[in-house]
Amino acid sequence: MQQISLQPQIEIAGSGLATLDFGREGMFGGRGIGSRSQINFSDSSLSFGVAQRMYRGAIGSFTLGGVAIDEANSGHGKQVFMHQAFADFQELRFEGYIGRTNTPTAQIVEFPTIREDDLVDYTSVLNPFSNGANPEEHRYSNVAGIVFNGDLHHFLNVHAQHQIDSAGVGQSDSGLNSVGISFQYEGNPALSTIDRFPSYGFGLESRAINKSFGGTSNVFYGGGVLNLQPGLVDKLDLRLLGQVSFGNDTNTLTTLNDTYRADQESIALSLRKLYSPFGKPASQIAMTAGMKRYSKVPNANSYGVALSYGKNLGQGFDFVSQLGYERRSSGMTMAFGGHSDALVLQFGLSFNFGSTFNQSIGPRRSPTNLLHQYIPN
Amino acid sequence: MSKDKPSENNEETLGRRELLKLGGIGLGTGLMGNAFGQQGHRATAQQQVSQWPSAFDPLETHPPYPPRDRPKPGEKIHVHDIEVTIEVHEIVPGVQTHMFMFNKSYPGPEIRVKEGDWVQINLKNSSPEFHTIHWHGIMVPMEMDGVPLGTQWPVGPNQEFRYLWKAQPAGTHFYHCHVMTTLHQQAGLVGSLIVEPKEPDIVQKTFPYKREYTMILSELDTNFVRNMMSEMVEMGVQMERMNHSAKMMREMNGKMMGWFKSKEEFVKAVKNGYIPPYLAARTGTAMPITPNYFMINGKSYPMTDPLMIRRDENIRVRLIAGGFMPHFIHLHGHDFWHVCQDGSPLAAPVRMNTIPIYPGTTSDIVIQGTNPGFWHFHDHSDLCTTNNGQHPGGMMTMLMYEDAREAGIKWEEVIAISS
Repeated sequence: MQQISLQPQIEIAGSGLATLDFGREGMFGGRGIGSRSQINFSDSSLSFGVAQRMYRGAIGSFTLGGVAIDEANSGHGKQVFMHQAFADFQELRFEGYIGRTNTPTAQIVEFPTIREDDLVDYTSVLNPFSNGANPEEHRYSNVAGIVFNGDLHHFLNVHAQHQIDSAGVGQSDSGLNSVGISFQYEGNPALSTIDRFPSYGFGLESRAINKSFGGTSNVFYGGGVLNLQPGLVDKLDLRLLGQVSFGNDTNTLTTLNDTYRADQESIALSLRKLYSPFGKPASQIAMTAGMKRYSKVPNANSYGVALSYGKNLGQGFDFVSQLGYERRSSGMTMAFGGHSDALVLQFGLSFNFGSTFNQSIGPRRSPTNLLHQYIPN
Repeated sequence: MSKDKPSENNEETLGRRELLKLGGIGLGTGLMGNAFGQQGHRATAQQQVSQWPSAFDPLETHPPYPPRDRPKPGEKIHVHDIEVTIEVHEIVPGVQTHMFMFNKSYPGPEIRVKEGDWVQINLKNSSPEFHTIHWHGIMVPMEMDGVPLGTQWPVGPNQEFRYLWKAQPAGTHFYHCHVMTTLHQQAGLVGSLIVEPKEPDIVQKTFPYKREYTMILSELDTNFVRNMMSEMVEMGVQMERMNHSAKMMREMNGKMMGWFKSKEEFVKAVKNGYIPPYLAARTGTAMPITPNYFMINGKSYPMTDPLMIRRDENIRVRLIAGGFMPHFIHLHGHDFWHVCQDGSPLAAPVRMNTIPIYPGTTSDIVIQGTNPGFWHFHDHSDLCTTNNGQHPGGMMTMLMYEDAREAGIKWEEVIAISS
């Protein structure tokens, strides 16, 4: 099976993000923000990928990457979380992948907070098996999935997952604990700021929780992006993610894991103003807000809000800042260490880059490939 | 050109005016490279030295007809419809790339007209990018020259433009899009344009031939074309959508994707924070252009078409440098005659076996069936005989004798195709 005569395409991508955090005692976005200030480099990541053309025009690839986790929350003694380690095979209408990567439930909508896990309680479909030490467990999981596409715009993802069970609430310690199906529409990337509805999707996930922890947790989720003010220079968009989880009988919230698997309804909304003169993003301001309530837990609800600002300082390099606040009702405070609210102010810099060597494979969804629907060289 | 005639009493030695022209050509090729210039010198040095200065005609490059004439009633006009679309082109089996195409063909359709005839080209742009057509080597009125933002507005998506010009001078020429030429010509928008002489063809008279071949030589960086074309198409798709929104057009005014109406506007934008792409990266690919496929008429070896010949037959081959690299086309087992350069007959044919073809030039050669067999005909710049770095490939084809078997050649034992 070994063939080494052809050099693969090699891709390296990374994101460096470091902020100075000033926090009032509490917990924000699943991370602990204590009374002290901290230099926070979580969500910095580096990924490495190789790809090669297969027989019949297919593409095979492998990606490996790690993301820095919050130093204050390194409950496992780890500083780097392997968030990507998966193999992928794709033809024109079919894709199959297996390994550690983004959980399919996290791909519907991306919110413009400075880190993926800011306001994670509202902006992500939560992992009901997580103990909360690492919010990355909500974004990434071990997945085996197949994706069928229609005209490279409509994607149907059928998958099974082993979501990381750090809380030990699953029916077994190994094997698959979650199955689901999701649908996603992605418009022409050239028109992502012009089309009224550039993307949307919805899905259903069933998670096998041990009966002693309330039993199965199912979640239905859906959302998308609406361009309120379409344009190429001044753009205003609205992002929405709503979710309803049901089937689990947990009725008190004493640990973070309880807050992830108990039946709940939540909604996240974000209003983003993007300024892009000369075809390049220059600055962005966004207000993201979320709220949720637990249907079987008395007096358990919360809301959070984040005001985020980013200014481009050069190619891939941004100044970022964010003011975040979360408040929880009395039914939730025990799970959050007795803290009913959290406030954090962050300033920092981010650098994103990507580079491809020995390029021989084009992106599947470029505007030209969408015209003719073929596997690009 | 059309006035070129062989000597009345000796066709093989050619006439005085042709000899004079060689002097001019010789000067030009001196600028292009020593190999070419020296070979021309070898054939006619004596005549050049003794006759060129006294017979110099300062009007020699005048157009045969006034370029700014308009068609008169009753004059015939050749009408061609040319549509630009984006298509998928296969260079060799398994290697496909998106390309702009004239009439869904790469190279575009050959246009062949008589000198002095009127030609009308109806260009229809059915792609999301801007285009024009430049008539390379043709003495057109300025407004028909096809230089975007220079002599005409570029033809936008779903727009049409009508070119009208008189075919002159005679010879081998070509046409290509002149919008962002680095990309558009490389990405497929090139075709041959043959203007047949009104007077009897001096090449035909000297080397009677029945078959002729046109070979457009070009190169392609598949990564550059893929990435840049995608970026251009993305902008085109956006602009097409903007055309339906007065609000977006106002919003974009002066801030459009790095395109500026004037030098002053560009300088002001840089002061206001705009970073030109050449500062941040060379192009969208962040890499210099590195061609990895080298083609004859859009195909790389072994998919190139062979030249067919028979013993004692003359064939004319029109070589057109439709790309951005020089090529050095070599024929095994034969010498050939270089008879025309940039459309014009040379003062005297020049005997050679490797001819340099520089970007933008055309060279006509005559191959004579003197050595039956199967012979390689290829660029002798070895990089250009590869497909993505693998030899053999690229700019290579074969000269094949149809009557090789009758000549006793057992070709089955030696010919193989590798890829």
